[in-house]
Amino acid sequence: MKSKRVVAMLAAVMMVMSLTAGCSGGSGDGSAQGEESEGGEKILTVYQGTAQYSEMIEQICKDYKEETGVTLEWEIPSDDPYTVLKARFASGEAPDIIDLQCGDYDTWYERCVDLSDESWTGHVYESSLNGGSYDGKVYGLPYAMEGSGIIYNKELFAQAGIESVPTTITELREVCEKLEAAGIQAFGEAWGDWGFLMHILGIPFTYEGAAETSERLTAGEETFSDMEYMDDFFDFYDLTLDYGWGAESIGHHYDDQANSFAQGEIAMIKQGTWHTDTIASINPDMDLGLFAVPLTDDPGQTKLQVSTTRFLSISNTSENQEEAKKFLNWFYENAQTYMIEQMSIIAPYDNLDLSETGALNMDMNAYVEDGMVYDSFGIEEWPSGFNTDQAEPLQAYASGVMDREEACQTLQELWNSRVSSSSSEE
Amino acid sequence: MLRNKGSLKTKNWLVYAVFVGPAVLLCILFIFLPLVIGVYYSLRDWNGISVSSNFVGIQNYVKALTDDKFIGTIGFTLKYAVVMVIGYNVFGLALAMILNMKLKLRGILRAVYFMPIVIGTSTVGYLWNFIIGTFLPFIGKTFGIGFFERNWLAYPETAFLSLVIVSLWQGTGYYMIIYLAGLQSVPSDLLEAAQIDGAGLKDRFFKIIFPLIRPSVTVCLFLSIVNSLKSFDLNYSLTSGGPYGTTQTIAYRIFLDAFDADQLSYASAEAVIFSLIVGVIAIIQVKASRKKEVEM
Amino acid sequence: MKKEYNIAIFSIEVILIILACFVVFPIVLIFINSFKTNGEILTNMVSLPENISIINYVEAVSRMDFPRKFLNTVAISVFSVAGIILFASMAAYKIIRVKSKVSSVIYYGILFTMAIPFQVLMVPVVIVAREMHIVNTMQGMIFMYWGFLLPMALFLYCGFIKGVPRDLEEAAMIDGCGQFRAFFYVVFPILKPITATVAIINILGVFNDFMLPLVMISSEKLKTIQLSMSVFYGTYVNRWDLIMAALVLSILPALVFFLLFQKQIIKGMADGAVKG
Repeated sequence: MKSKRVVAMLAAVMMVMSLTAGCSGGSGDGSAQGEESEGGEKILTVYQGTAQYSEMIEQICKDYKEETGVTLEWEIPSDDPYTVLKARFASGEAPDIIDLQCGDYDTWYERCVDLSDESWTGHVYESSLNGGSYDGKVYGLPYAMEGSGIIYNKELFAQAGIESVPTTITELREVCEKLEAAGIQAFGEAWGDWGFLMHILGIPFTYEGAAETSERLTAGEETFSDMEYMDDFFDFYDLTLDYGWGAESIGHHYDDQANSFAQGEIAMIKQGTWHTDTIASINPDMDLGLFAVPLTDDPGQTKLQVSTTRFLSISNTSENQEEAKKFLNWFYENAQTYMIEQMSIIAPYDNLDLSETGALNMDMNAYVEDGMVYDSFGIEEWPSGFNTDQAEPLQAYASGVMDREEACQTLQELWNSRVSSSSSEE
Repeated sequence: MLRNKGSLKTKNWLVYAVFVGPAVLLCILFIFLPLVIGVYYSLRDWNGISVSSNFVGIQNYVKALTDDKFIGTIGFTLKYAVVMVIGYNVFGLALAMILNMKLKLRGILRAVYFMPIVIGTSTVGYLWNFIIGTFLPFIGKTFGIGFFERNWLAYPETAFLSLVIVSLWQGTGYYMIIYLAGLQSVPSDLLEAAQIDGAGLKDRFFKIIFPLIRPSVTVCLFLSIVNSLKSFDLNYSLTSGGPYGTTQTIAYRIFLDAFDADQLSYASAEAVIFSLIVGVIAIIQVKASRKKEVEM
Repeated sequence: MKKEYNIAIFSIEVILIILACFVVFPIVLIFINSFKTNGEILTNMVSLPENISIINYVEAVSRMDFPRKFLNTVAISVFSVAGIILFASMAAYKIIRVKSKVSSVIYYGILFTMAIPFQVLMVPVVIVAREMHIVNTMQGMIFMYWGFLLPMALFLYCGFIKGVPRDLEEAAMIDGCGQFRAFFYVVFPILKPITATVAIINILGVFNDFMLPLVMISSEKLKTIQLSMSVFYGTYVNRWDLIMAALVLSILPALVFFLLFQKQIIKGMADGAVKG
């Protein structure tokens, strides 16, 4: 008899559920077919952003709805944007507007709408526009120009009696020693995340000429072992370890690094302008600065890496391409309000006022005005898959499991295997 | 094998089809069909993005079988699987047997040991990242325990240990529940009779309990073998395969190749090879242990 | 077992209780921290909250649209598991009872499917779903779970049915019961212990699954709790207060479910115990 009661209960639950499921299932169908539901309301789906953008996105959705009546269903990707994006394209449910990065367009252009005729193309910096182009056609609206370097805590620098930022590796070492003498931990690096290792490994590429170096590596004319600035790279890497969390750096990640830095526990982190808002959200009163990573003792080579990293594209399976183009245009026209004033991220357009963009961007601008920039992160021409692969030998080096030569050899093997697999794809 | 002599009448087959049909259809539709599509892609050169791809024959398979990285992850996966299969089953069975005894807090204890299963794996990864990365060092610093002070995820041995501990923490309750269900089929009068006859603990376990719960053992062994060989979630959410790739399982490697390296076809070939290996191991294990089960 | 509660059992129990404290500790830690402010969590995570406030929960619930996500998850879980139980038990019954080549091909064929890692079926599966027009729908999710979770349920049922004597169902059929009646009225009730196991394992499996909803569901209003959680982690990276509250919220439904039904589940397992 107990079982009967359970069965009856289950039946009741199922009946209730079938009602709810019926409704939601129905609405699911609705949104799956046309993007117009409930009274012909227009909906655009957007798949873009990272954690730091969430507040801006909320604001944009609200404002855009008020101005145009179009609802934006804006999804911020979880850790694996490309996995989901591929699945969405395979399922025929691709978002109308997607977020891509420079270096993606040699594969993703096949899924994007040609935007070459849009009016904004005339106001985007040439080099930024190129990052979102393939074969002479524009596929992406660049929206974030970022500088990659060392962020430092000015207060801690002052405490240690450091008056100017280092422009050579020797000066950087002195800075570390001074900080240590003052009882301050100099570095604290999140080398557990492959993304940040990728950024520093890009530096010797930019020093040597990013695109050409990648080409030579691919052609087998050069190896990691004989790359010109590889030893300097390892010297710098050693500094971040020796004066930081040591071998344990590879157990640290983005968020705990940001927390430690914002709480004044460490003086320098290798990050970039994208960090402005993250740090402000933990500790809004921090006095920050940004300087370029010095690899050598020639200050003339110590330039800041500046690159346009992110782009908005329209998926070519979208049924709302015209609406989506209108939105991109609106986004471009309002970049001053959202990207610059709210996010403190510089959009690469020639008609913006950049005077209020936060300390990190101001420092970046100073480098730009002095002409002291490399206009890439050095990673754009890497074979796909290598960006994550490279972390393994570099982490092994940090742990002392590999020496420089072994790490270089492994990097080379990984590079070669990625090259051979991507060439068989073409 | 054919016990029911002459029962292969049409009507019986129809009944059979009604009973078995839906299950077979579902498996074909959602598992075998995708698998066939996967095999199809494994013979091509699709990157997962393009609209078109070309036929390349068995090239991807040849490459996978000579790929050191892929072969290397097999070693780690086996090591991990051996540890986990032993761990899950020993702890699962021990817990089940103890929690089958008349303990004062039996109900609460069962709930507690089962509790970690109710937490989703993405949450588990997040939770333990917090505990291992932030909480343990905090405890280590506060109380001066060196072993806790270091970051466990930064060293291969402790990262592996973390993986094992968290997997056990999360998964043991699952096997415990299955063993607990199996133990219900051990009649208590039989055990009492044996005890009166002077059978020791060891005898009672190996001569009475173990043969009777053999079906549960088969099930748990199978599930633990398959699940640990396929292990992905914690490698992804807790260690990200690190430090320097030392905790990469095959499933995680396949995932990376498919989605990070844009080589969906190559990853499909790896997956087909991997499924065959796991499938063969699993079926051999089931066949072997089914033979030993007591039939009613 | 009419054994006395003696010292030996007592000491085992004490050991188990101590171990249980470690098992439950992470969950308690999260629970305590979910009431603190972000600042409190960052400065000292083992202290008790200065004042108990549910503001984190209020914010997390509204930002996640928790009630809707909860209903979605419950609906998907209940329907998935009901179907799995029905299809798996029926199929397992015939596979074990009718010993033929066909049965053993089906049995091992379905077993084999459990060896396939989902991560790579992901793309092919959404292609199948697209052709069936069930992408981004509730039904679609339920059908898929029927397919994905059925093998393990079937396997569990097969193992159990082997141990069930034939006498009862044969007696019923001699009494004029049809095969369906014999199954549903005689065999199915005997399967209760394993049904309870299958139900609980699968309900939790569906409740906590993240990968399938990730690739199948794109509409905000159809998202499940786990899917919203992952977005939540990504969106509020440095808001530990919100994340802690959201973590508790994501654990709570399944925990309450287990605690509520624990008696029935364990009892269900014991009820069907096969005698002698």
